[in-house]
Amino acid sequence: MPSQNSVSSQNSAPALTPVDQASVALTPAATAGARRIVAVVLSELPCELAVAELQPPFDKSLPIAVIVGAKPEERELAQSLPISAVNSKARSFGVRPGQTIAEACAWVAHLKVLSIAESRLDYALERVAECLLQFSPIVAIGAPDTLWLDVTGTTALFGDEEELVKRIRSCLAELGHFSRIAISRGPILARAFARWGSLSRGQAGIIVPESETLKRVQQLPIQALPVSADVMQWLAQLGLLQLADLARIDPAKAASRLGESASPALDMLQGRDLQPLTAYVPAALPHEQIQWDEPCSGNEPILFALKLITTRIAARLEARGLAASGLTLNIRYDAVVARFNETEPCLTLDYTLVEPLFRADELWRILTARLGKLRLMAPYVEVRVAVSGLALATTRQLELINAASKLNADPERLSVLINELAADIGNDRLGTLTTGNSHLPEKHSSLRPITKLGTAASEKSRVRSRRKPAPGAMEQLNLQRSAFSKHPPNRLFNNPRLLRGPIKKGALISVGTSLYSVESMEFECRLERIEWWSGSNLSRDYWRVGLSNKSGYLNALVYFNRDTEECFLQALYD
Amino acid sequence: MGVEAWCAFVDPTQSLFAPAIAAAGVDAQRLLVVQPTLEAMDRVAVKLAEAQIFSVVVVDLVSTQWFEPEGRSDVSTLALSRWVKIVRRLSLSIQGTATQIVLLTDLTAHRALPLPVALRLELQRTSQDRLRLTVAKDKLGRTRAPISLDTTNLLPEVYTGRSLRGNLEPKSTRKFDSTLAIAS
Repeated sequence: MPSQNSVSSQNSAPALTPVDQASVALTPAATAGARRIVAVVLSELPCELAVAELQPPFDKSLPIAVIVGAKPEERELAQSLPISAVNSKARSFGVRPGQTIAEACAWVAHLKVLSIAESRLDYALERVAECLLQFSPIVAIGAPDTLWLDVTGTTALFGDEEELVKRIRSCLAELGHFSRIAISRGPILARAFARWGSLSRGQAGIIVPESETLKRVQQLPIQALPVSADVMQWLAQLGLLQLADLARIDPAKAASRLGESASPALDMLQGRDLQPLTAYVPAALPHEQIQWDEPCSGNEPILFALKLITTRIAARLEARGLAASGLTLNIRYDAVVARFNETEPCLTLDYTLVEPLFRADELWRILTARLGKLRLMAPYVEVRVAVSGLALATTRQLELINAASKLNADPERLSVLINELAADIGNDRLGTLTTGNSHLPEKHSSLRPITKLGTAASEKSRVRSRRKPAPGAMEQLNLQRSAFSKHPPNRLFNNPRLLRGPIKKGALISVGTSLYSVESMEFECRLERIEWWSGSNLSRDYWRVGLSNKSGYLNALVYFNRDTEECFLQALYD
Repeated sequence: MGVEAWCAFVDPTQSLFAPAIAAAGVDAQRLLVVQPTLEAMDRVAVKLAEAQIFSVVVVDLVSTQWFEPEGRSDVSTLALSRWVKIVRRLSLSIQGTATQIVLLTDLTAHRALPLPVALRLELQRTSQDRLRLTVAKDKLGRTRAPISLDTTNLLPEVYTGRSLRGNLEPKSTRKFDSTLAIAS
């Protein structure tokens, strides 16, 4: 664990020389008393995680107890296992963490006992820690249920400490977590206040001012003391129910009775807390996953899982100030059924985003765009979403003129729509048409995928743009060079249709499902030995042909290949 | 000042020709061309309409009779009968917005019920250089006798609205301009 000095040096932007560090250590601001640490206790996190895994969803208002780290084979023999966490309903019945299942069931007969892996709890804590990085650059994890934020000097960014606590609580509520929050001068003190301090109605968290720390510490119950359960039980038997009772005993005499943890306990009694924090460093590319014990089928569980996953990923991206430029969705099938169906054990969908996105609803729209036509080959047990690329998150300033109009051509909304369509039908199927520099009509028009949408240009860039050729100027130039510049056809066949027989007045031509007779022919242009550099060396005569049948007239573009002496219908004018 | 409007063109046959757009004076940089499969066409059209970003959304159903769109697996996807519901969804999604939707359909195509559109224009080429325009339906009841248009110089006139403004009610001028500019 890094020392307190090393943690403090992470806060200071410029590197300090040894002389500077010494001077900082002497200043009052650098002393331990100036530290402000936020403790976030997620006391119901194991319950929340365990309930989220259940399929079908479980009624959260029922009493729940959770055992963390129980092996699967122990689930049937769990009567003697100690409970790790309980929800508020179970707590109201008198069930407490540390009781065995048998004891707890004696209090509540219909207690639901669940189990989760320890790795899942650790992962959930890491995820929440990453979300809290938006409030402080130093976030530390204290398993099994605590997170610390060093907000020394950064509180002013959010107004005051009360506002900061409100925002942290709101962020955690969005993630679906119940939390108790406290701010004090050190991590042990802050956690004790968060866990055992009294919170009045309407208060977001407990804020302990520097001057009141000692007084408020002594109001805490004896359970707040960082000592072993045996020592705590012994203290309770002595009738020491509050820290104030213990503080009246001579510290020298109490130290021998408090055992190995005497030092932090006595420090706490005196309102001292110099415990350093180890900053959590998140993984480069975030990912989220949801697993089910029983295989699921149909799209509804996936949609439900994706809603939760995108909310979590969005919170993590927002905390970093980044946006996703690519996403990967993995759906892991039930291995046995997948093997029986002779299919891959995992379905992977890649999403390349035209514009980076970071908002939860936008990510959800992109991910679910392809799910409607998705055919799942087997029941699935896991859904995982990973961010495959990161970019800086950019937000645009709102425009009053657009807000007033009914038509909202906001580039952000357009980029979300384009991403959604690209995820649905493919990135190569949408874009803007551009004219190419070629004599051949089939090479004269192409769809250019949209790679980046223009944002509102600044005045400086507008001035610069006046000096450059106007957008589309090259296309206009290409158009003027084309042989079809006067009357270009509207529609072009991707694959020209071979016409049987000679084309002359009165000849019959089928266009689609209709049969037409040739009414008129007008020579358009001749292309002589072009594209020789590509090995094609084409020679064509183009004719504008007027067609008619009983339903009306139609103008078409027909060319005669002079090398093969074949006629092709290439385009339509109507 | 503000953000310029975009238009969208749903082109399942991938046949829209860029020089024709440029020659007609349409800014191709502001025209989003979407080329879905026939199965995805209705879904894409509804998404474009619901976005309420585009000033005009053109859905091309007529070119599917001339060209072979990719992914054509079911002929029923072309039937106009199934577009009745979709048109209702489209009209609901743009209600109260500045978005206009232009559906290009084949006049001779079989349909069990007429599409529930607000305005139906029928264009028919009667000869090499004549085009007949009929207002077959108008929500406001402004139908009138067919108009015969000279197509030799039609496009520039339509874009400026010179030829139509003399024949139609002033209130409908804008709608007819945008509709005809793309439909022709």
